[in-house]
Amino acid sequence: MEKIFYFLILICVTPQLFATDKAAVISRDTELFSKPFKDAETITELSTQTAIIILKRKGGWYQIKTDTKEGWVRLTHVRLARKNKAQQDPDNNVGEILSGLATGREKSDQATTATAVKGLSEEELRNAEPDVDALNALDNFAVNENFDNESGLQTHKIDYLAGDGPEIKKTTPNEEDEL
Amino acid sequence: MKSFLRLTSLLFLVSISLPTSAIDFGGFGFGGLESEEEGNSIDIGEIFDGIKDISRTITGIDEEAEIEIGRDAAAVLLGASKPVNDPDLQRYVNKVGRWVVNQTSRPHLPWRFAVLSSDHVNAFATPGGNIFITDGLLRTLNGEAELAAVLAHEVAHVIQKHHIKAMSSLNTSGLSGVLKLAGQTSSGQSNQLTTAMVGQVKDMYLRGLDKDDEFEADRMGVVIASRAGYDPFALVAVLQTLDSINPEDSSLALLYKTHPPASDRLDRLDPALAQFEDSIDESPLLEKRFNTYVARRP
Repeated sequence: MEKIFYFLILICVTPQLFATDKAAVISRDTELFSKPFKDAETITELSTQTAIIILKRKGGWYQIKTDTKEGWVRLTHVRLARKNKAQQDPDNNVGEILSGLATGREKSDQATTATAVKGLSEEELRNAEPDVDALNALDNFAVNENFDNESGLQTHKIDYLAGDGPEIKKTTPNEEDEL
Repeated sequence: MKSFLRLTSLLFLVSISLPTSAIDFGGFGFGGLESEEEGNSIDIGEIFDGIKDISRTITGIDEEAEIEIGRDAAAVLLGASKPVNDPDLQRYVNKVGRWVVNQTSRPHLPWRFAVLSSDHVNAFATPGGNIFITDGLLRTLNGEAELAAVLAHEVAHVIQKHHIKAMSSLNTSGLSGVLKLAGQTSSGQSNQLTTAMVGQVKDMYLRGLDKDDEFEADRMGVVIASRAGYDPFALVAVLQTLDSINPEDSSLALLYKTHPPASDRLDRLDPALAQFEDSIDESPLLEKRFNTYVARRP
């Protein structure tokens, strides 16, 4: 019953969350797949610097469109178009190139005024006087170790990864039922 | 088959309950350097030995001292920026953080999480389990999985005692010098940090950690957040967002002074993600509570 409940939550929540419509470019030659799986049918090859629009993210995949095609590419083979955080309307060259394609703009709440950046600059850190009262006040919001998570998140057993080289350890498969 | 699975589960439990040193320096940290050491000049060998000595000592640091140093460091950071006055938000971030740290080998530390009212894009950890994320970074995040990814990166620094290592390498007397400073603080007037300790802490946060420790925290953070049931690719999404912000933007100044560029971090993280490639993790996305406490704030 519980599982059905979370499944329903999932269904309701999934489609909206990563709806982004962001301008981006392909950062290395890659394949455009029909579905977000590496064994899925390849629609076409996309070369580096191809301008794209990201429609949404699903795990390690972006659903994207080019000026003629739509499909899925690996998340790590994409680079978002650069923008100025300070500007309400992002400085977005790729967006201009693809102006006919762009269906949305960046979230407006990402815009802040650069002139008023406060707190934790190099200078403010240099001049900081230790604030022990603020430190002690953090206790008010602490959550203890026996916290029963209310989120429905399922834990997994996964080993740490060994370095950057080819020697990457495999994940331990999910064996929750066996514990 | 069943008993095999039990055995692997047991082995897994044993492996996560090993001291962090087994993960830190046995597998890929300094072990790799050690094997490349042969054939190098004596000087380099000596440097490596020195690093290994520091590492060995740090691994053995008394947890109480680690926590005390971390409290000093946290007090200094809180001197530069105060927590956002929003109890619901602070409690929420602590719940996400607590769920994340419960998937590590050190859940018993006095973990404290706080959102600081700074527009800078940054996050900090101090030894012993104080984790800070700036409001500036929080507002660039899309969803709880991205928040968990940032917290898990910081948590990894604490698990691996990266800050103790960094402070020890800055102090001419190494770890013993840092411990001496910390001891002066706690034996002096109550809650008074010595000027020397404050200076040491500031030096470390202005200089940043070892770049390899940052890459390691990225890799470990992905695993910790995934253990907690979050999307393994959320950290990639965060780094891509950072990479898309103009690096000249002043809100990123300290972050980029103390961290490798986001594009380098993405490149280094890439091979570690292969194992997750087709695991489209259908974890609940928790949009509602993220929106309630984070996204829909004024």
